Amino acid sequence: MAAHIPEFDVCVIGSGAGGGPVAFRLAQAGYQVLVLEKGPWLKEEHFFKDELSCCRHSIFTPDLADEQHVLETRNDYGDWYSEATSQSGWNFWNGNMVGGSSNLMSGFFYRLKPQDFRLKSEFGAIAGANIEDWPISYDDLEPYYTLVESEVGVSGHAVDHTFAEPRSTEDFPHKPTAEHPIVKRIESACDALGYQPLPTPRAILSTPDKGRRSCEYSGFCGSYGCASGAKGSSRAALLDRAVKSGKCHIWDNCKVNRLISGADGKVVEAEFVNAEEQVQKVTAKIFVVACQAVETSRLLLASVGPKHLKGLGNNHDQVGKNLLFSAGGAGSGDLLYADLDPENIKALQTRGPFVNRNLQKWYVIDDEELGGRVKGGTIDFLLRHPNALPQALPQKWDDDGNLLWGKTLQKRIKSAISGQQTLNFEVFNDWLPTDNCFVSLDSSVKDRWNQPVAKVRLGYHEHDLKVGNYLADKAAGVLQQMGAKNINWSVSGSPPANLMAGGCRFGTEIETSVLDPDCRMHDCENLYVTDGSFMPTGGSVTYTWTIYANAFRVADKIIAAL
Amino acid sequence: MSDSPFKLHENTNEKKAFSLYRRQLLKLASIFPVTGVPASVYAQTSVTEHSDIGSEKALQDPWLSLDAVQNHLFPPSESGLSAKQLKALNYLQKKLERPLADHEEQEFLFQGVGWLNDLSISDYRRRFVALDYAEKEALLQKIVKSRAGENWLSLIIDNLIEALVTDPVYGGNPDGSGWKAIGQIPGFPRPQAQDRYYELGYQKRQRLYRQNDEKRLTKG
Repeated sequence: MAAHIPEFDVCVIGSGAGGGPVAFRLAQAGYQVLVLEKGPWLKEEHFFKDELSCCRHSIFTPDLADEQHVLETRNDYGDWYSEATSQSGWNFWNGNMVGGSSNLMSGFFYRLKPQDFRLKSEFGAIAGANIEDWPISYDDLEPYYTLVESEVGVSGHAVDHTFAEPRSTEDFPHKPTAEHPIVKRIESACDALGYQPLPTPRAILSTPDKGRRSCEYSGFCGSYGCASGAKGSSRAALLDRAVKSGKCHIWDNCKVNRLISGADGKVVEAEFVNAEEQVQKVTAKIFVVACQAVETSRLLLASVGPKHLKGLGNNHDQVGKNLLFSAGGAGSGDLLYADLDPENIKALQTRGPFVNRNLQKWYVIDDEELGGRVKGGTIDFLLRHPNALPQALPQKWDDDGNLLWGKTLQKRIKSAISGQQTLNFEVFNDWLPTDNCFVSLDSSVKDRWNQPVAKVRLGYHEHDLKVGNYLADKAAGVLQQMGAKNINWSVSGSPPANLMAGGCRFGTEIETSVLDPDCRMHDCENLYVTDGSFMPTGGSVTYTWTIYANAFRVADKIIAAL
Repeated sequence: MSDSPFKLHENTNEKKAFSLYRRQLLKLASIFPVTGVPASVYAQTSVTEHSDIGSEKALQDPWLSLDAVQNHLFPPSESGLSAKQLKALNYLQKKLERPLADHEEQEFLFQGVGWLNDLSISDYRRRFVALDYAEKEALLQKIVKSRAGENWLSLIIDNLIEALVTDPVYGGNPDGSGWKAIGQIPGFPRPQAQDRYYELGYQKRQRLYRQNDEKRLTKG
């Protein structure tokens, strides 16, 4: 009997920022690639600025009755309390579609810095936190950060500052996108305070490139799909080109239930449910898992086999552990039009251009208030979300929780929409890995196809809040300097579901890590993980650029292994 | 006549219940007795029978009462358009006709009309639509003190706000007049009829799943 020939060279499960670069590079190198994506294949022609599809009836995430999570948080007594998201309404999905949640990002892009790769060595251990250095350095990843700038399309302007990352090129391949007039106010305030406002790179094309149009400045960017193709989603920037090569095939609406491994421990095939809800299987030489951190761990844990009795790569109970989010918080302040002249009001009313400014003055903080030298973070400025619906709906309640209607309500709504420009800020600092933040399989809740759903314990380290509050206070100071009113901010341990990583950390020891430094599973030689799961620590910036860069790096390792 | 659920928690401190999840609230509301016209009677009234929204004469309850409540909650104003100008009733009717319409929400809306008119007749011996402005205001201020009443009014207000700021393709906000009235600049491209949310992505898939479920149940 002839040996079975795998149908594909590589099967990539998940098509976001972790899957796209692998599919793209391997197709480019001539290999037959299959991408299995659980969500639908939405393209530029499907993306509209619809108030309902974005925030009220999501077209990008499953109905929680069909697919959900179980989230475990501490109650007021300090006990862990589990609740299914179909009950709580806390939707823990992001963007489930071809290209993943990179379709919905705002695209502010940051590299990690050299010290992020050696957090333990640089800043020491912290009690209660499982901090480890990465097994690779910034220098290993730098060429791939640069590759992302050209392949995904990153616009920006490099400037020198205290924590500037070393670059192998002088500047970005694309000039910055158009900037909102509020930027001048931010700069003036920062100048007065002695802060250096930095230009924020953005994975958005300022000029057409590689068949994609440039930004058309609708202003409805984050949480929306991009109708021009300017946003550097994995789909627009990479997968569309991979498909055109004829070597990459995308099967959308295909949700992988489990990976089936053989007696030698290697993965043989992926079992999935297709759009018609039929269970099917596909074989490949190499499998790449990139479903975003929580779902990657769920899939591995659900994939038991002869050599993987507790799930793929989980013989040392490491899969799902040390899950990360981005710590920090958010705040806002209002520039009231009642305080401004018509010319300034008109400028602030501008809709479309970006607020490309951030502060990294406190990327490392040396302050007795925090007990000396500690890792800090990034402050990013942005305008409030332009969808009027979430702004208008809360106006029906007064400050005492009484329901309002009539002219009082109408006046409040109009004031909320057009009485001011609201400047938001977001703070990003390290979410320290702990024993209380991890993914497991829920023992009772199943998805539509009777598969166990991911259960996520959402513990955090108190240190995260100290750093977050320190940074948020600085950001609020900038808003105050700008003359903003109604300044408020919040820092909490509540995780942002759209900024997740970890769960399958890479390292050199199988006892303490799931993946080797090439992001290949220690004890499964034909399985790689290329989403943010590999990260032992997350750094103090958003993850997407690093996920893209690492996936490009691992793609080269896979090509070398094939 | 038994008490309306809109009176159940009058003069109590139990009204701060809106932090409960809506499903739980709807479930809570559904256990209250319907003292007015049974919901099933309303449910039998086809939306399409009242497509002539411009003519008040064509309206019957529950739409007649809902229209009157909407117009009271969103009156003509300098700060925004009235419910009538926003075509808020048309928006609501179209919303309840959508493929994935929330039947619990519809039931609660219709039950509330019965409760409202029960109370109106009890207090004023006239149905809500026949009350003058001050009487309507007094009655709504009375029902908002009950948990069910507050949630019912809150739901109607949510739909008024949706009629104000959602794309005209959904039946309200005619020609973007709602956006213009409050100073909102919409994004682009905007959805056309074939691009409404329920025709796309997971919403479309959800429709297919529900159809598959019905087929399985039929076979079963």
